[in-house]
Amino acid sequence: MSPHVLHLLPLWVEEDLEPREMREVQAHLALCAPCRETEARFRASQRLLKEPWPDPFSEGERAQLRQEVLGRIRSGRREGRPRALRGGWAALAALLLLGFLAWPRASRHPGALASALAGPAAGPLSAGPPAPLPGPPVPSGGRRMAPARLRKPKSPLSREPSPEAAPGGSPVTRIEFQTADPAIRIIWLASSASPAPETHTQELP
Amino acid sequence: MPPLMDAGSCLPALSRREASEAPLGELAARIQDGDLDAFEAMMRLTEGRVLGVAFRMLGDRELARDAAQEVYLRVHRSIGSFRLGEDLRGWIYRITVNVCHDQARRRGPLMGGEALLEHLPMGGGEEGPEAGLLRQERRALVQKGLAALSPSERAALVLRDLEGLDTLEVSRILGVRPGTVRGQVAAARTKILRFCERLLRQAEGGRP
Repeated sequence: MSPHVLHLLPLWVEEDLEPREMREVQAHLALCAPCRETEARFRASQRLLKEPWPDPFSEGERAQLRQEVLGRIRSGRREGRPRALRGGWAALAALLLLGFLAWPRASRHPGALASALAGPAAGPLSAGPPAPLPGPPVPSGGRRMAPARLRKPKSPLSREPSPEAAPGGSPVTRIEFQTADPAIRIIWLASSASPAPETHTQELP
Repeated sequence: MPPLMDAGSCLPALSRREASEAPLGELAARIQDGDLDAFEAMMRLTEGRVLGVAFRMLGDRELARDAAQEVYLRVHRSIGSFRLGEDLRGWIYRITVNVCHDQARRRGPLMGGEALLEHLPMGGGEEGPEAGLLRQERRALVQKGLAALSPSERAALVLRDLEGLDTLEVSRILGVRPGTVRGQVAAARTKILRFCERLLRQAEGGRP
């Protein structure tokens, strides 16, 4: 410790020192005029620092602050409701998608899910334009496929009355997937009359 | 976000008068339960200090208002993470200091002092205009001195000397050891002393 206590004076003036240090500084100040002078300067500076200020914000400004904060909180709550609604719609869409995905399996086991849904006549695989079906089936060769692109069906009904036509003349939907491997194309034939959609994996030249 | 006040609240909502008189700890529980009246009462109890700290730390009224608004929005967002029984006032101080640091980082160096005087009320109505002007000059001097401190020194000094918190409270709010707070406060007081003495000498025509 230096013979003077100048380094302790900034804390001494506000009694921020430990009791032992406070006693030491007090004893030193009683004997040291330069340190007493510095202590007096610190006290004056602290008085200046702690001089009370008028409140820079009027009651009106404070009330305005409260109203703005509460308004933003309330508007945040109102914005939360449409988000909840959007979430509900998303859940409904997900449910419909799930039902759509489960449809081919349900049609294989009539009476299970099919009866719970809209019925086979309204099924997405019945007649009409080819519907977007779930992802490509896994090829039998076990080769790993990249995500497939849905290609435009090659005239499934009229121009190509294929041997895959369903019995009873019911329309067949033909969907082709071209995998990332140009040698592999997946052809998917679906008919509402057939028990399950047929899938062929075809090696292209 | 805490639950809404009227959405499945398990506590009865306070009346406006009751909420304004409830201690901060009780208000915290009700705010967590979504009681907006309790939130408003908490604001009434703490806004003076939040605005004061923000004003001293930022040196600008508009910035201080923006900071106070951000503080209360953060309080509302995070009240669910506040542990009941702890010091809500200290928690709000901590958020205030963090918001002020964020604002100061975005904004750059603090304002000096003269510009501040234009917005401050004169105060001390019983004294003459000359004494009022001298008082204003002293305030500008102090604000300049505060602006010259580092952000951590300024935060420690504002909380310890201007808000009157003890060293342990300040250390909890700032998340540092008490010894660190003492060091920051000592450095800040020494800088304020030198700054004020130098400017006072300049004003009197002496050598800086």
